Amino acid sequence: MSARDGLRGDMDPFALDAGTAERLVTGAVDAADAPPEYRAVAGTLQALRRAPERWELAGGRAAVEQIAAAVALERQFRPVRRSRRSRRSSSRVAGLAAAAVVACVLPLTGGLASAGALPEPAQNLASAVLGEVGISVPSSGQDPVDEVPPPTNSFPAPPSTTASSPGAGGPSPDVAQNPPRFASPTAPGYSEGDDHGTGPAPGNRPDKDRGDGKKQDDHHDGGEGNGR
Amino acid sequence: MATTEFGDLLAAAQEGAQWAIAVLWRELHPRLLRFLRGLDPKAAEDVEADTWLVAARDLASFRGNSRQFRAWMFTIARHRLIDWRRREARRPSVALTPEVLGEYRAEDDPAVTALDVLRADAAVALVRACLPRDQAEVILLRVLGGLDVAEVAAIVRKSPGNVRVLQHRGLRRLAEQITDETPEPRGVTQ
Repeated sequence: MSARDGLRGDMDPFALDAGTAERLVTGAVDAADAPPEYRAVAGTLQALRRAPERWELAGGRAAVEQIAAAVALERQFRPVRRSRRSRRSSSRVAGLAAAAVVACVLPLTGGLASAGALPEPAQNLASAVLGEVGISVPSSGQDPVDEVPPPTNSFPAPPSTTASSPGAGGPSPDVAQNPPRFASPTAPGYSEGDDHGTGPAPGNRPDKDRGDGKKQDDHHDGGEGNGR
Repeated sequence: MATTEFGDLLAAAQEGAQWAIAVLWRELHPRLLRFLRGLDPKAAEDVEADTWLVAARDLASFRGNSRQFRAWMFTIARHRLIDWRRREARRPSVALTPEVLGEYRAEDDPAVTALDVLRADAAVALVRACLPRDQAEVILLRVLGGLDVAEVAAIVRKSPGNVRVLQHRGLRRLAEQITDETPEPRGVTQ
């Protein structure tokens, strides 16, 4: 008959409170001081903590040499790995920067070209190049509003008439005849800019920006996708 | 080990100094080996050696004190053991009989009772034989790693409450098993 049988009844002989459990696993209680049912456990856990026996430390020298060699080898190759990684990351940053510049400059240049606002040689070049691909851009000698407007609303009507007017798709006589209409009286030198600026006029800017912005976003997303 | 003392030791080990690596190895190798033998004796030797090689590879990037280093090493050992188990077929479990236990008893002092002379490897075998793997793992990490509940919880990826429950069940089961299976040679008087 074991002690457990003798205590069977109301009491759980193996009842263990959290404090005693903690003292047992930390070795804070000696086997002799442990609760009777846990003295064997305390002895077992003490045995686990015993100093290493000779056989457990056998082969130590060879093991240490092997580990030291592995550490040395790793130290030898680590700088190389790091520099390769940094080179790779810097070239990736350069690529992203170039993509960002292209994404920003192209729509801007295209917009300025279509509005005829580029310097003369650049405007001529843009006109010639974009003309090849079927995009109508005025050359430097032409007034953008004198161009025959494309079927779409490339040169939107001024805010007073709004782009949503039924005639927005065709040429507007008002626009054709009075191009400097949106020149600011307080900024005379700005008239030309504002002229082609029927595009960036407050009423139309969001549409144009939205269009360009979407294109940029698409491009950007594609770039990220490739990056991953 | 004092923090600065360990810091110097670690720095030297990271430089590849054999004396520093020898100190770390002597301190941790027996504990790691016992821990692994408590979970899988067949794998223990290989996995322990593998643990040191992984540690050597990543030693340069380790930052922390001696306690964190110990936790780090036990974490590596545990991961290597999991990898090993994935590769190897599961071994059949072998029941630990009193005869088997007797083989582990020290011969040098027959006057003392069995548990007084229970060798570390016998204690490891006893824990392995008596406890389910998760309970054995928690108790071995706490005892051999000298780690607290939170540190063990981080290693085994369980909540601290869960670790406390496993620890409590493990201790209780161990007490029940030792009492039931080895009542005579326990050396514990009732």
